[in-house]
This record gives sequence, C-alpha cells and structure tokens, in this order.
Amino acid sequence: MIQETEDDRLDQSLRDTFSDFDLPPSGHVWSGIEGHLSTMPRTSWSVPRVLLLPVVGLIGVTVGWLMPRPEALRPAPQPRPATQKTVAVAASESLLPGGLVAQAAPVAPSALNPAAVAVRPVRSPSSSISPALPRRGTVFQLPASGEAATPIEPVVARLALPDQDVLRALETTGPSSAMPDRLFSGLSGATPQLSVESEASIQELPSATAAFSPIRSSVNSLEQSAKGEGLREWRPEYRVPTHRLAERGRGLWRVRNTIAKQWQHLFGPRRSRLATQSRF
Amino acid sequence: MPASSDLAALLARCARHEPAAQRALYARYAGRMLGVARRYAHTLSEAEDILQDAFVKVFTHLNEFRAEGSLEGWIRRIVVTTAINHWQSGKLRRQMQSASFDEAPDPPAADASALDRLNVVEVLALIEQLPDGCRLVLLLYAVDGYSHREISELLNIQESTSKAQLSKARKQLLHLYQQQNNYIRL
Repeated sequence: MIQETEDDRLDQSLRDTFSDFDLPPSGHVWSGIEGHLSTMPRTSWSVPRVLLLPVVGLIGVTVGWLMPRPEALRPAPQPRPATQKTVAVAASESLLPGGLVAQAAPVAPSALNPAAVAVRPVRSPSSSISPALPRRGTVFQLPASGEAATPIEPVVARLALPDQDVLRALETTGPSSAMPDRLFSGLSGATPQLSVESEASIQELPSATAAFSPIRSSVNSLEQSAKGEGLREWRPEYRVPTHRLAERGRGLWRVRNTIAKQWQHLFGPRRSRLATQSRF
Repeated sequence: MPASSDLAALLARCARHEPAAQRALYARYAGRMLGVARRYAHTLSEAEDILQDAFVKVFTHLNEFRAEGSLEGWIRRIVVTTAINHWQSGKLRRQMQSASFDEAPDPPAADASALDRLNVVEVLALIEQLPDGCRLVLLLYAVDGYSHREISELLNIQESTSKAQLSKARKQLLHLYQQQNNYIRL
C-alpha cells in the first residue's frame, strides 16, 4: 500500500514535470514536412466533384434521350386486315335442305325479331387475346340446324353486321314495324359487303316467297341509303405503321437515320447497279 | 466557441491541402509535440525526425480524425506511436542494453518526492540514463497515461513484462537520483 502510494507520487511528479515541456522546433523540420507533402500524390477531388454532377446529369439525359421509350418498346398493335372480313357462314343452299326456303311458311314481320334469330358471333383469336379491342371482323355462325328452321335466317345471317353494338341493338330492340329501318340504317355501311350469294338469294326471294316483301323493301331501302352515303364509312382504315418506329429512333436520331436512309437510297450500291444496267 | 470554430475551419482548410493552413496547424502544436518526442528520443535531432514523420502522418490522415477527442491528444498519440516505431527500428541494440539492465541488481529505494526538486532538464537527464525498455514503459504509463495492456500491444510484450519494467524503472530512477545527489554532496 505504501509502495503504491510512493509510485503514484513518482508518476504524478513526472507528469507535473513534463506538463509544460515545450521545445521550439528548428526551421528545417517544417521544410522536411513540406517536402514530404509535396512529393505525395495529391488527390484533388474538389474540381472533379464540382464537375461530376453536371457531367453525370448530362450523360444521363443523353442516354435517356437516345434510349427507346417505353411506348416504343410496347408491342405495336397488330395490323388489322385491310378489308372487312365478312364470312357468311350461313348455310348455303347446298348445305341447307333444298326446299327449305321455298317450303318455309310465310313469316310475319314480327318474325324478324333478332332476339329470336340466334346469331352468335364467333370469337376470333384476336378477341380471345384482347377482348377489350374492338372487333373489326366479325364472323357469324349459323345456329344449329334445329334453329335454322326459320326462313329469315339465311338473309339476316348473310348480312355483314358491322359491329357488336349493332347486334346488341338488335337484341334489345323489340318486335316493331320500325325495326327493319333501324336495322338497315345501322347497317348502311354493310351493304357493299354483301356477298354475291346474298344478293342472289335476295333476288330470288320474291319469286320464291312472296311473303318476304317486307324484307325485300328493307333491303331496297338499305341499298338506297348505301348509295346516298357512299362507301366512305366502310373504307378500311389505313393507319400509320408503328411497329418499326423503334428502329427509326427518336428525335435527332430519327432525322439522322432518315438522312442516311435517303442517302443510301440515292447513292447506294443498288441504285448505281441499276443505273449501269441497260434499259430494254 | 471561437477557438473551436477556428480549429474546425483550420482543419477544413488543411483537408483541402492548403499550405498556409498546414503551416498554421504545425505552428500551433509543434512545440508541445517536440517535447513529447524529446522524452522518447535520446537527442534533439532524433526528436525532430520523429516530429517530422509524425506531422507528415497527421496531414496525410487528417481526414480520419473524427473529432471524438481533442486534436492535441490525437496528434500526441501519433507522435508517441512514431517515436515507438523509431525505437523499434533499432531494437536489437536496445535489447542488448535491456538485457544488461535486467542482470543488474535492484537499486535501493529512494524518496519519491525527491524528483519534485528537479527541473525538466534534470529529470530528462535522469530518464535518459534508464534502459530503453524501462524508459519507454515509464514514460508511456506514468506520463502519457497508457495502460499496461496498451503498452503491451504497442511494444509487443506481455503485460507482466510491462509491469515489471515499470517497477524496475521507478526504482532505477530513484537510484539514479540518489547517485546524483551523493555525487553532488561529495
């Protein structure tokens, strides 16, 4: 215990002695330090850090501008058929019993009720993939052989119904005398799509069935309305092809590609080869 | 706190490698650190070499200073470590001196308060007569406040060795003091 106290006193005495022990260094010490510091590689991060952010931002904007956009990456909508595909799946005369139309009993105009006519659109592959897309080509199928007993079926089935909405309208419309006009006004654009078979069958109808005069009159009115409106509404839509837009690039890149393409078109090897060929 | 703010600004400028700031920091702590280095060195020139190397380390690793303690304490530890490295560079010669010291008999005990009557230069002269092992352990433990575990890690020795060296250093120092007083009286 006494020894520890003696040691503590000695340590404290040494600490007090050296507490204010300062020595002025000579000048060559700082010279040596400066020499060491100057020879060491300097990491001058200040200037690059100032420039780093704008450079990174500029590169990011440039790359983002040149990269294809998400809408360009999205698959382009499949090109729709140039012509309206109307398939008259109605049973032709060869499929139907030969005297079915002739033997059919006269049908009252109320028999035109489309609700009674089982016209079912066949689901196309495109509609099965994306049902939200509007159907352009609607294929109609004849009802079962048992349902095809009504003579009005071939006529109505062969009509190229333009849209599902018309069918829905037909279904909701009750049996009335004004229905055929409404039907054919809605189908005014569809008359040019009538097949030759349907035209022929329509012309044969008066001779075969005299009771089909309302239908005949309706078809006539349909033809007249079609002549009045023209074919403009049913002209197939020619849309700008978008499926190769991603290849052409965007912005200045597209301009550059266009110029290069025109240059190749004008001065490319194919044109020069064609120019050398003799014209016969 | 203008001093701390000045010190923070000085450190920031030193981190940007401004020579004027480095010179100012050196001028601020060089005197005290040379005193620390002088305790561990045998000569003033050796102490200045230690000081130079220590300040090169300070300016090189200044970004590693976390300001959890005082800057002076951080620089002091660098100076002490540099001094120990200097000592380890010539370890073989000092081991021989230490071996000769270990074989010497223990001197008689003296009064611990006797050193109070000496000035710094006299105490330093007495400490320089100690073997290097004992001197380093005495300075590290008694003056700079290192623990035996830290000393053992720093000098790469056992803790028991550090304690033994400290005990012998104390006795040897008092013995040297007695010898000096007896010589003056005679």
